[in-house]
Amino acid sequence: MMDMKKMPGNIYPNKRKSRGLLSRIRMMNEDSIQLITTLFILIVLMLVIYILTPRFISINNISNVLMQVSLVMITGTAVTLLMISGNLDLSVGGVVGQAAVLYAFLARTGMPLGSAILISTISGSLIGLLNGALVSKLKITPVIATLGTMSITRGIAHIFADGTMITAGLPRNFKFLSTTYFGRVPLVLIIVLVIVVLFYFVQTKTTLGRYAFYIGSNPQTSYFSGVRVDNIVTKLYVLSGTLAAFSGVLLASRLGAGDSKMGAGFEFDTIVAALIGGTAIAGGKGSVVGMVIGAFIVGILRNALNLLNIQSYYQMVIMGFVLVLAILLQRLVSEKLAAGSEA
Amino acid sequence: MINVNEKSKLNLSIYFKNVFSILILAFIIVFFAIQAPGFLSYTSVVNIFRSSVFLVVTGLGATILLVSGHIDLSIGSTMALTCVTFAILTRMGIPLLAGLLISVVAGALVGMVNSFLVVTLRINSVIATLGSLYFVRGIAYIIMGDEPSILPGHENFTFLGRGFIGPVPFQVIIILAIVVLFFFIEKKSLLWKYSVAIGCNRVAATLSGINIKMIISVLYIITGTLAGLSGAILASRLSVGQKFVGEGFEFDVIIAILLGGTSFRGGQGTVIGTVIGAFVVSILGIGLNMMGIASFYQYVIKGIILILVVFFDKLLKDKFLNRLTA
Repeated sequence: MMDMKKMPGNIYPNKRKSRGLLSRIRMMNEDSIQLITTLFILIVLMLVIYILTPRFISINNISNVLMQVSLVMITGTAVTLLMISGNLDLSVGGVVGQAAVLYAFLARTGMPLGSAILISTISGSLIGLLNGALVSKLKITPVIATLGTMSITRGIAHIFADGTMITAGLPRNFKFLSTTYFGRVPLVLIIVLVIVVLFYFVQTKTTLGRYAFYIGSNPQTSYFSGVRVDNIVTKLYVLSGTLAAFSGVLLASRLGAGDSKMGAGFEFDTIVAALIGGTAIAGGKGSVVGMVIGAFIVGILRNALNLLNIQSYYQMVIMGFVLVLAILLQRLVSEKLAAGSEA
Repeated sequence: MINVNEKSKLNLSIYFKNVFSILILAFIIVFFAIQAPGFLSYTSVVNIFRSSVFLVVTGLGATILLVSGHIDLSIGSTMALTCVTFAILTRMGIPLLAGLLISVVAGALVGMVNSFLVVTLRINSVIATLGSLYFVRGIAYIIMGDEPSILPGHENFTFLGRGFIGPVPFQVIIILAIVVLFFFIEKKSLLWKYSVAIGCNRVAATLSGINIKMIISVLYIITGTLAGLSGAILASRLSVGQKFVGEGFEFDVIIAILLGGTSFRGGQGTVIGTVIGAFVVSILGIGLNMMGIASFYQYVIKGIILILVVFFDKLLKDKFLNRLTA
């Protein structure tokens, strides 16, 4: 029970149930029980898949899953913090496409790969800055603002790739990010690990993370208690744009091309991973660790459906179901616990 | 409480929004008339009506839904579903009208699923319909299988989408019928008033005895039905069933609705506004095509327009309504 104290949420009391010791204990339980439930689902899922296809547990396949999940996890860390603050970023898929194409475009011109990576990633930060300005300065609803930038970024990707994809004329070491290994450990895995740990730290130990919870719980109260809401929200959007762009660079380097269609539906995957991990769509609740488990659930499910040779259209239907089921399960858990404390 | 003075301010704000969207409409018509030769020709005008029928039909359903503060992102996928269903049913030899009816009912079923998710399971409407966006598109893919497209092989199949009555394209009649129907709903029926009430203040609406769950379900079913109808019209216009159609269509619909002055937070919106917005969006698409601008620049232009429109809406609201919204 010691690690219960480390669970996010218990130091950031939810506005509804912050009174009394009993409700505080219930709060802790709610978050940790939710995390345990998600972990339990993941383990059951893995067991079922292993029974269905023993191929699932092979070094090859596991590293395959890790590669698939890594992009969702990298972007998901920032998206989770953003969602905790009650915001939403639908433009991450578009940003992935834009950065992937830009990386290939710049690499083709003969620019050093390091600066190509940097510029592509910064292009995502700029989109994040735009999102942040639209939402916090112009007060446009996050869904609409980021729907707009989703369209804009996808358009930019198409413009730079001339409506198709960039494959020819790329330098030899274009794929170096995804082909570098330290011993047997791929560089990408180390990057993912660093980013996840960093964001876990940001979420639990820094004021940025704490303010995200405050703003998500009640933006007005946070504002009147001296939190610079606009500033924090903009920062979170910039983080989400930056990491989405970096994921795009990684994707381009894994596939060895810059395709303007890359990242279609990526916003769906990151949001689902965060939601399955216990992040509330209304804000004020969530955790990076939960998102990591959520990303694994989504990734493993996709992988298993591929291993079982299920066609991609059935996969769409199944993923839609899983999303609804996961949200329902969480509702059930949290309502069961809240029922006692609120009465 | 809204006193008389503030109520007139509210009306003034709606009035200004409509003037604003009519100005945009006039501006782009003049712009394309100068920039794109042949824009005002008979074929091109018929073309504009043909492509705006989809936005008008689905947009009006989505408007009354958005007025109640809910959103439906699955309309594009619903169109793909009924587009495929209509073509397949006709190919199976089912009479045209029966096939049309079944496809429209399929759209209504999608609406029922959405209302089940939103009303019964109380899932946030953005997330729930984002889920059904994938779900419904998946079903369209499954029904269609791996065929490149479905040829219905019925001579009258294309009437709904390409037919003429005298010199008037059949779509014009569809647009008029739907607009008149929605004018009636807006001005005379309780449904629209209830929708506004729910969008303005859900709790107050519940306490004044409105059956919120029922009303929202009805609104989702209306939206699904109309999306279903426009999917069938689309199949008829393309003369084939296609599973890829309607991708990103929800985006166009939302732009059209917001251009028409409907508030994204609910509680405010007009039929005439959405009709104007729908024409703006479809004229923009056709005009840019005629000017030879590649479709990928249109993504950027549409995204910028969406943001500008919402920003302007916000400015107007601050100017006229800051006491109301505060």
